[in-house]
Formats: sequence, structure tokens, C-alpha cells
Amino acid sequence: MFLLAIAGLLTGCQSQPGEIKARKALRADFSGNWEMDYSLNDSVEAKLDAYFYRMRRSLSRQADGRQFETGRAVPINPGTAQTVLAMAQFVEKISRVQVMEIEQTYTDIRVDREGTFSLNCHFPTQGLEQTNNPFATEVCGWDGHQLVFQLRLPEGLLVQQRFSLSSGGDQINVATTMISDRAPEPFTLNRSYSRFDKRNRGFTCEQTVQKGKVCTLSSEPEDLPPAPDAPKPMIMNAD
Amino acid sequence: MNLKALFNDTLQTSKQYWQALASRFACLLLVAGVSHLLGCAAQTPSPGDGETIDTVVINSAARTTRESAMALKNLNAVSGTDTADRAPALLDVGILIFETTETADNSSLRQQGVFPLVRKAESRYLPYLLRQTMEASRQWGVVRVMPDTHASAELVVTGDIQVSNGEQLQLHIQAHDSSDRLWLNKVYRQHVSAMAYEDDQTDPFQPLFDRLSLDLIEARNRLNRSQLEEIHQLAILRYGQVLAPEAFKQYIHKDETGQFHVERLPARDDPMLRRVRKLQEYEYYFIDSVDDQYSDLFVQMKQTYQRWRQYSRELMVYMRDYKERQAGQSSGFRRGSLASMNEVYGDYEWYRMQELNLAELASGFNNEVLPTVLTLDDNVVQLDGNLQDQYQKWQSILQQIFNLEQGPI
Repeated sequence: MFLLAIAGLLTGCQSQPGEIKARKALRADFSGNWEMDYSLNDSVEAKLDAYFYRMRRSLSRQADGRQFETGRAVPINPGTAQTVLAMAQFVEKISRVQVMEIEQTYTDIRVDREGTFSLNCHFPTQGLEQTNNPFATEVCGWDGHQLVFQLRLPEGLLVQQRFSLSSGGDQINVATTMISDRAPEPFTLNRSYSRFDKRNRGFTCEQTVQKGKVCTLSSEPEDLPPAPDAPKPMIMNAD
Repeated sequence: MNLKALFNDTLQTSKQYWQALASRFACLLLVAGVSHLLGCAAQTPSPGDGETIDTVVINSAARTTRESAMALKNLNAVSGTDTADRAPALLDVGILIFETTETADNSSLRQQGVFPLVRKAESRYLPYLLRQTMEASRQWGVVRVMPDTHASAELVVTGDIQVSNGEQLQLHIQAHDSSDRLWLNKVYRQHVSAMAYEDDQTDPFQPLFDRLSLDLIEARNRLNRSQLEEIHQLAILRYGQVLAPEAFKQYIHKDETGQFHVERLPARDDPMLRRVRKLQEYEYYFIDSVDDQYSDLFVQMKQTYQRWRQYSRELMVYMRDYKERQAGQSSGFRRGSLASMNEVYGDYEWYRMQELNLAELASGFNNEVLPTVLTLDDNVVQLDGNLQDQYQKWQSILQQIFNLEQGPI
């Protein structure tokens, strides 16, 4: 009975896969327009090779431990291999976003991503925010200077996106990680984004109920240089 | 300066003041309306306390809907005069702009299809719909929509929007008369189907307002003639008490249940009563100019609001059906396969995209309606501020007159 209780306690203490131990928030300013920088992206093939290499090494170590015959490649379970390949394909697919527009305040962030849903987070005063909907559990917030969005899906899947800003503030790295209960370890793919200035398109659009999206010609001239005596834009950092 | 002359001067100034304000705000609204229209034309289409409250569920079946509409229509109009004064049953009604119940945070409100700015607009729109329904029944005196309670109202109706998402409307309605007697404390709920939106001329939730209007009439009919007369008397006496407390406190008393009663009446030609009646008329200038603005908002937002509710309903129903179909169902694909991942993530992505569509629709509604709502609120705040100033002046002058008339004790 006592042993069962101890075992229960130990199981209770175990952290769930992908659980974030959020460090103290050091809020970085991600706001602006960002486009994918292909030159800095991870290669899916290279990541897969590395993943399978680690798996084989791990399996070999286990086989050596059990005094198996050495020098022979230990086969990877075909089902696991298929899951790893699927994870790679899936992560590659969901991280294809080419352009992002980020609006950020001290309490909220909204990441509008081209072609898919936006990522929103209302930062709690401490820890991470968790919301539930019928299809997933969403967790988001600051982990040190990184912004984390985590999605806990059915069928043992977890997708996590971790945003980090470069020291110069002109690059964002988005590390998309997938965890499956059918794969031995997570699969991560890094995508890099560079800041760009959204050019004035010469028209502005507004959503309406009755007419849908209505666009009007904008009166502002395109790319007007700033006046020489105009004050420099100030970056407000709440911290 | 002679105080009575000062009082008459103030009244005269006040009258001109309210008339000028009324015309000024009418102009402002006209300008706002024109600029709103111009804006459209310029656009080019290129890209409690544990108490239980009764809930009235309104049946949306066509027959029931027709019946309640007919019941209202077939009521005999309360005639305008009865002996010297108007009929006691013809009470003046003030409907306050509705409150909104918003306890949840923004993200869960969005999941329920609630957008605070849309709610703000409808809290001004729905009271006007009730006003129209009550006026059409020809059972009441003047029915006005007001931003705050005014002491001169004979019957005050307040409401709280608990649910409004195009598919369901749920209002908590209370009505009190000038004696603070509670006429009604009920929750009204109506679900509508897509068919309710087929008729552009009638509000989909009109049956709810018909039923509410019938309940108010029924509550009034339970009162006898002397009770109704007392409501008229208390309205002016309590208004007088706000302006000249010393002069009017002798006429009213409050019983242990908190209800007001007439202790005795002032003489018909009592000079203080005459003054208060005059001031009440001037207050009506204010209330009417505010009411006109709610009326303009109602006309301007009617079509957009109808369309918003229709789209919002379709999205809500579609999302709910989808959730019901999907929730708890296994994909049928091998766990860990690409097909299974795509399906699980695809469902979530679909859900989020629908949420986004609803949010876009709400922002469209705000773009069309919010500028008008904000202009209206600005005007009301300005008018109300002016009225509060006027109150202070009136109170001070009436107090001095009262002291003079009382003479040294």
C-alpha cells in the first residue's frame, strides 16, 4: 500500500511531455512585419538524417547493453520510422508561413500569419496562459526572452512554436517542435524571418458587414521621405 | 435682483438653451449622417441575491409569433383624455439603454460570439426596438429611450443583455413605476431559425418584444385607477423633491418595503408645483433631443445589424454542428500517421479560421456602426453634463424662493 502511494506520488511529480517550465518574462518587442529568410532556414533532410542517426545510436547502445552482437546495424521499427517521417513532413507543412505581421503591447500579442490562423496571447502577470477549446488546449506566454505558443492536440500530439528575437532586433527565429507519443523524441525545425517595411500600397481596405472588404485610394503619397527636422521614432519598451 | 424674475429669466434662457442645443445636435447628426453616406460613396470596390427570476421562453413558431403580434394589434388604444386630465393608464415610459453582462475574459467571449463593441451598439439599439413596440400598441403615454434614470419618468424599464448572438437573444428585464413598485422582473429568451431573417422588414426577435410589451400591459392592468393616479402624482412630486427637497418632502412618504406613497397633495395652483411642472417640461426638451439621437442610430444601424446577426448566427450554428460531429470521434487513421496528424490539426485550424471570420465580421460591424455610436455617446454626455449644471442652478433658485415664501419662523 505504502509503495503504491509512493509510486503514485512519483507519477504525479513527473512532468508531461513538452511541459514548459516558464522562466521569468523578459519581454522582447516582436512587433513589425516579417518575411521568411530562406538562407537561414533548417534543411528538413539534414534534420531527418540527424534524427535517424541519433535513433540508431541510441538503439545500438541499448543493444550493446543487452550484449547483442556488435558491428551489425540495429533496425529501426518501421512504424516509428513512418511516424518520424510524418512528423517531419507535418512540421515542414505548418511552418511554411512566409509573411507575418506582429502587433504587440505590454499585455497582448497578435501574430497574423499569411494563409493560416493568427497566434494570439494575452500575457498573464505570472506564468503561462492556458485556454481550452473543443479541439485543443492552447498554452502561451513568455519563457525568458522567448515567446512560446503550445498546442496540445488529441491523438498524443503537441505542437510548439518558440519565437526568439536576434540581439539586433532584425531577425526572428521560429522553432517549431512536434512531439508525438509514437516517436522517441521531438522533431524541431527552425525558420528564420527578417524584418521588412510594408510599402504603402496606395489604397487602404476596410472590412464592412454589408459590402465585404471595401478599398479606397489612399491620399498619402507613396514612400514619402521623412521631413529632415522630423523627430526620430521612439521605441517604447515597457520593461 | 428679484428671485422670481431670476427664475423666469432662467427658465427663458433654459428654454432657448435646450432649443438651441436640440437644433445644434440635430445638425451635428445630420452632418455625421451625410459624411457617413459620403464615406460609403467614396469607396471603390476594388479588392444576485439568490432570488429566482422567471424565464419566459418565446416560441418562434410562426403561429405563436403571429398570435402575439395580433394580440398587441387588437388591443384597444387607451384614449388620450379622461375628464380633465389624460387617462390614468397612459403612463409615460422611460427605457434606459441596456446593460451588458460581460464577466468572461475577451478570448472566451469571442468563443461565445460576443464582441464588446457590437454589444455596446446593440445596448442602444434593442431599447429602441422595445420603444417602437410599446408605441405601436397605443397603450402608453410618451415612450422614450434615456441614458440615465430621470426622476420624472412614471415607468422605468431597465434591461440587461445576457445573450445575443444572432441565434438567441436573452434579456433580463425589470420595470419599476414612480412609487418604486416592481412591475416586472423576468428573463426573456428567444431562439430563432434561419427563416426569421427572411423578412427584412421585421426584426427576427420581434416576438420577444411583443411578449414583453404584452406583459407590461398586463402588469399595468392589474393596478386599479387610484394606484395609477398615484403613479402620475408621485412622478411629479418625486421630481419636485429632487429640485426642492424642503418644499416637497411633506407630500411623500416611504413605507417599510421601500415603496413611496402620496402623503397629501399640494394645491392645484401651488406656485412651487407650477414652477416644477415648467422645469419638467424643459427636462423633456433634453430627453427628447437625446431620444431623437437614439432614433437616428436605430435607423442607421438597422440593416447592418440585421446582416451581422444573420451571418453571426450562421457561423455559430455551423461551428456548433461541426464541433458536435467531431468531438470525441477518432480519426480512424493510424495514430502517428501523417493522415492522422493532418486531420487532428486540420480540425483545429478550421475552428480557428471560423473564429477569425467571426472576428472579421465584428470588425466590419464596428467600422460601419461604431463612429455613429461614439458620436451619439459624445452628444449625450455633453447634453447630460449641461442638464446637471441646469439642475444645480434650478435647485439653488428654488431653495431661495422656498425660503422667501416660508418667511422667517
